[in-house]
Order: sequence, then structure tokens, then C-alpha cells
Amino acid sequence: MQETSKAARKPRQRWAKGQSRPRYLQPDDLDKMMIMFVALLSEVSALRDRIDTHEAVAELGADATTAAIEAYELTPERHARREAGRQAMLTRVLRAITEERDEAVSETAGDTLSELLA
Amino acid sequence: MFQQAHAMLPSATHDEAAREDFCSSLRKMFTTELFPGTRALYANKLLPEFERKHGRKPESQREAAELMQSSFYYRGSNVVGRAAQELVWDTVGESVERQLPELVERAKPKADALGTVRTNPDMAMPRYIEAVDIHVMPGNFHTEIGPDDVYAGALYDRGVHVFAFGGLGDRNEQLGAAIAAWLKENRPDFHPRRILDVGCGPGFTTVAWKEAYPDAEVHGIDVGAPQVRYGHARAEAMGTAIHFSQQDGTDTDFPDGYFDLVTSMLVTHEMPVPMIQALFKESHRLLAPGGITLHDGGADPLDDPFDTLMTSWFGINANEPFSAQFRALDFHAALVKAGFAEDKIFKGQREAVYLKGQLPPISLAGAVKD
Repeated sequence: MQETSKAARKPRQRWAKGQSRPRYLQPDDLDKMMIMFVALLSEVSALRDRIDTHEAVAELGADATTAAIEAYELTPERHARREAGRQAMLTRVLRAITEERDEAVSETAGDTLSELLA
Repeated sequence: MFQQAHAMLPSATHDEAAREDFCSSLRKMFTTELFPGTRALYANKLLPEFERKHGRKPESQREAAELMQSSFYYRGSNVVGRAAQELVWDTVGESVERQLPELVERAKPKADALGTVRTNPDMAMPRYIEAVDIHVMPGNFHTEIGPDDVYAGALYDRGVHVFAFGGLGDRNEQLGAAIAAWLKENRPDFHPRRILDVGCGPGFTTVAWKEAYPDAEVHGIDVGAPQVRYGHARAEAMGTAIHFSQQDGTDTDFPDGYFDLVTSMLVTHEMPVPMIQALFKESHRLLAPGGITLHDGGADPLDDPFDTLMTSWFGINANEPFSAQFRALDFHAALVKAGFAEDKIFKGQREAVYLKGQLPPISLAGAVKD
């Protein structure tokens, strides 16, 4: 029954007829996009910290109210753990930039290795 | 790790602190991974390729820059570094602005203050200060956004700690402590009665000088009224007696020969060379016989255009337009021109206070007045 009605219906249209989409961005806009992208990473990171504070407050046996989250005092241990998490996130996010460096460094390491094996 | 709290330090909500922590992490990633990675990429790939093609190394900074610009790693990491630079001030600025009325109130001088503060609304602001927001810090060090304003001072105190991910000390004092320690080690018999710290900002170095020479009368001057207002309240909160005033270091109202030490730290590289020259001349006027002037700078110029490019990062990416001229300045000749005797000029060096091995050592230059 369900299959019949699905077959009878066309998938919804996801593009609009008429004028084509205007061209918005120009090459120089890329730099501003990167500035926005990095600012957005900051928001993601702050959100991740807020979730972590929820967990910390819960571990202390309290309810994660707005007041409890604001009153929570970050411990050095938790701060260090968050910092490690942020560095790991940045390493993942920036891979497209760092792969050129990592490849160059590992190629050199490879040369050294082949020299050793020769 | 955490900045040492004092009565003037801006507080942060949960999310403000989280964003500031992200800025520190990003700055750390840029400074310890991305930026040094440029060197690795150059040495392992870009330079060998260039040498195979041209049979030589890049010969000019322009050639080195063109070579580096051909790499997405270089372009991409630099835009991330620039984004971090902008984000620090915007993130900390939002937090400071939220609590600015309280900070302004707290900064007002108290009757029982240990030190003093003077501002001068009639002071002519130097053109180079008004023209460029150093470090891409909007408003630079001097802009006032309200009566009795301390915004730029608070922004710099908190911002520098975030920017350097705590590397300059939990009171941002390490550069001041380093230059003062150098002087004590190299001039153990020098006991300044009066010290002038030029371009003092919120007093990071000024407090360090007072701690190094507790019996001295210590003055801090800055072109920014928000810096000296905030610096005064900050020093008071730390229990340190310092006299702050809003003045241009090239033209102060102190009498001839008033000081035994006239010093600055991380100030001259933000000044055009004629202003550095004027600062040295004013230092000479202000010193008593036997007095010392001491500033960071005077490092030997680098031979390799790639190395020069690397040390120009802030000049190119963070609004430090005068730093290239500063690096080329002959400090010895400039001090002689300011009136110091040829045989009374000295140089010094101290290892970087953070990112040791990655940042160059701190170069110091100075002179003793006859």
C-alpha cells in the first residue's frame, strides 16, 4: 500500500525555475569567509565547554541550572583536559592546511629512511 | 595557566571565558605548530625545489615571499593566524565592554592611594598613534569611549594574557622581570632612585621595575589615558606604589636630569624611526649623570631573506608597520645622535621568556649618560 503511493508521487522539486542564482562572492571574499569560519569554531568550542560544564556540575551532584553553570569554577585538571580537546579539534579541522607540511616532513623522513636502507 | 586575579581584572561569564580559552588555544596552535611548520615546509620542500630550479637560494625578501605564497600551507596558516589576532580583541573586547561601567567606577583614584595618576586631555596625540591600530587592536592604546575610560587598558591586560596563552606570566610581568633582572645582573652596583617606564600600557613592566627596585620612585607614562587610569588602579590593587601619567615619551614634563633610569619594553618597534630618535634624545635630557637608558631592540639584521620574512610576520599580518624600519635601525648610531658618548653605549641579550628556542632572544640596547 505504502509502496504504491510512493511510486505515484514525484520527488519534491528542490530547485527553482526562472532566473539563475546571482553570483555573490568574489575571490577576495574568501579571506573574510576564513575569518568567519574561525569565529564559528570559537562558538563550537564554547558550546563544547558548556556541555562539559553540564557534566562537571552533574558530577558534583547538582542540577545544571544557568546559575550553577555560571558559578562553576573550572579546575586546573579540567582546564588541561579541555585544552587538549581543543588542540585535537584544531588538528582535525585544519588538516587540509597542515597536510602539505606533514607530507613534506614525512617525505624527508622517507629520504632518510631510504638512505639508511641503501 | 589562569591569570592572577586582581581588583581591576575583568571577569568573564562562562561563555566569555570559553571563547577566550579558544582564542588562547588557537594562538597556541598557530604559534607552536603552524608558524614553525612554515620553516619545516621551506627547508624540506620549497627551498630544495627552488634550488633545483634556480641553482641558488632566494635572494630577496620579495623572492622569498613569492616562493612562500605559492604554498597553500603558508597562505592558509597565515589567514588562521590573522583570524586569531582579530578574534582575541573582539572576544575580550565584548567581555570588557559588558562590565565597563563597573571597571570605570573601580578605577577611580582613592584618597589613600599609594601612587598617583595624571591624565592630560590637551596632549597632542602623535599622528602615528592615531593612524594605526597596532596589533589590529581596534581603537589602539589610546582611544577613549567614555568619561574616565579604562576600556583599552582592561582590554590589553586581559587580551595579552589570552594572546600569549599565559606565556608572559600570570600578571603579564615576565618581560619586565627579564629586562630588570638583566640590569641587576649586569650593573649590580646601579641603584636607581627614580625610574621612568615609557609606553607603560597597563603597567606590566612598570610593576616589575618597582618590584626589582622597591626603594625607587617609579613612573609610568603612556599616550593612552585609558592605559594610565587602568594601570594606576591595577598597580594599587597589587599594592604597588607607582606614579602614572599620560605623556608622550618624546616630550615629557619632567625636569632635566630627574631620572636615573629611562626605559621601555616592546615599545620602540611600534614607533617610526624619527620618534625612536626623539625618545632617545628625551631620555638623554631626563637622565642624571651616571643614569642609564635601556630599551629592547638593536638585534643584528638577518642575512637570509626567508628568516627576515619570518620575523616580519607581525609587520605584515598584524599592523606593525614601523617594525621593519625598527629592525634596520642602528641603535648605536641613534644613541650617539641623541647625545650619548660612543664609549657609553652597550648591548645585551636575554633568552626569550616564553617559546624559548622558537622566539629569538630578547636583544637590549642602552647607554650610560656621562
